[in-house]
Amino acid sequence: MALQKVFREAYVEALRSNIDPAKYAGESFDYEESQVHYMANVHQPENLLERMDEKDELKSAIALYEEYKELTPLAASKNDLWAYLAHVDLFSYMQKRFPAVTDGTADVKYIREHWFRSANGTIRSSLAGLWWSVYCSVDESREDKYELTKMLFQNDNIRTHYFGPSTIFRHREAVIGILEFLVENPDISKVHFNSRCIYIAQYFNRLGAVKQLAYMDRNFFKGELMKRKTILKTVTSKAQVLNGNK
Amino acid sequence: MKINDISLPYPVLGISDDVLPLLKKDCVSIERPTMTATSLQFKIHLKQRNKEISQFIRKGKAEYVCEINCTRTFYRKCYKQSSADFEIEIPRKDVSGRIEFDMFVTVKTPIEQYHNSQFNQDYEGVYFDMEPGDVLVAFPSASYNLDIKYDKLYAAGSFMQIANGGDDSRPTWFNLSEDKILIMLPPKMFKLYDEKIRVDRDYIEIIHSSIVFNALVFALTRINKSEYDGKQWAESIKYRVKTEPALKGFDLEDTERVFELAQTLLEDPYQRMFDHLSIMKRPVED
Repeated sequence: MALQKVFREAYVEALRSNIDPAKYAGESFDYEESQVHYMANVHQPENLLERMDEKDELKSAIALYEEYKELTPLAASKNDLWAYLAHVDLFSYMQKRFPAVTDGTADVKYIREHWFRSANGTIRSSLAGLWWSVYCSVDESREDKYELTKMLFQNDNIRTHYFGPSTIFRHREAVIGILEFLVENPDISKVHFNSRCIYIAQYFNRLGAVKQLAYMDRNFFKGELMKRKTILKTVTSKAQVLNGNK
Repeated sequence: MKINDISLPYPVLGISDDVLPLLKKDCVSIERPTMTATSLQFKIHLKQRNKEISQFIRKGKAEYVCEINCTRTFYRKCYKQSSADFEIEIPRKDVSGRIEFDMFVTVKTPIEQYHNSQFNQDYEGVYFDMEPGDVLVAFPSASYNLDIKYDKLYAAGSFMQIANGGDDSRPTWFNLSEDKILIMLPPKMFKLYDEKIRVDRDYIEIIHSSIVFNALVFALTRINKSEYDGKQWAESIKYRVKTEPALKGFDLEDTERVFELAQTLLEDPYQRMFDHLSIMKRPVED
């Protein structure tokens, strides 16, 4: 198996600073071979492109994570791999996922947002966001290790706007506790999921201002939500939460 | 949990004068990490002198806590112990860029009717039921940035860069949201800069004393905004102001001296420009 190729970091910056939408419309992206080098100890997967599905974020995220399971957090935090995949190995997937590049409506900002690290953070970055979402929610101790990941991907808005970018998402115990509560309480997660998750994110955000949440384990987070289950059941709209009626 | 000039619903040593004796300047000391091939080893020493809080720690009702965060790698770990001296080893593969340290004394088992004889008098006769996770002491936060090459901060290029703004209809602007201060030129100007100006020694001093200098002044007037916390350019400048003898006496809160500070950071760009202009070759006149 060949080692995984990546762009040199300076080249990623150069590409990002000189985006030409026309270069993203063709069958492949024209890049400089001299600006590519190999990653140590990371191999290029053979069938990743076939496993990626532009219509199914969860399926693509799990495929990406499984193929790069051994990636260290340090390596995954860099832009070189994700930019290379987006421009080379997974270029056709990216074009299908973000079709404005082929129908001629994509501008520089659109490409910068999707082909490079998003200005709105890692979780909202296209490929990196998928990998990190699985990394933060996979639980090897469960029969289905992606059970919590599936819950996280139930609503893309929740993953990329409410839970993903929040600091609580970096606290593994909190992620497991909250997602486990949602899995075990379908009466909460099957309906009005969006607004109820906003309530949960907002609740822990407020609690984090008076309590050191990183100190607490998964049982605390689950327990807090159990205590508020009656209130959660009455949450039926986003406006209700955002207007502070809950 | 970030404690920045906030008030908690109970008195906390380290926030305002809620509890005495106040934390001293040396209440947190973090040594530069020892770096091995595979890890970073941090030694952290915490100091607080409140006897009743120390008593809670001795009895196992509270403990010292060091929370470590690295946004880029989603690393968030909480180290807990009864000793105020931490020795923490972090695998290198787990962190990148800025590492943040938040230190507390945190309640471990419920403390009913908490009252401290050193509470501010505003809390006289007031008692609190404290639960695990509640904070008794909040030490000042600290950070260490792995991206900053502390010995290579002196060139302007280490924290500033001229880039393509991507839009010809927008005039030049300064982007402070990235790790470097980005001077965003309209594409046509950037092309000219990239192909002709950047490579010509005759233009460097002029560029430094004009747009680069302006961008730096712009950044310095905004450096204390929370949105730029952790940005490499801001951290680099803060570190230089704190440690460089030539910058001694400058205060980043003092906007009156921003112009002077920018000149010092860029090593007197006006003087360099004048020196260079005086020796620039003039075109041969017929």
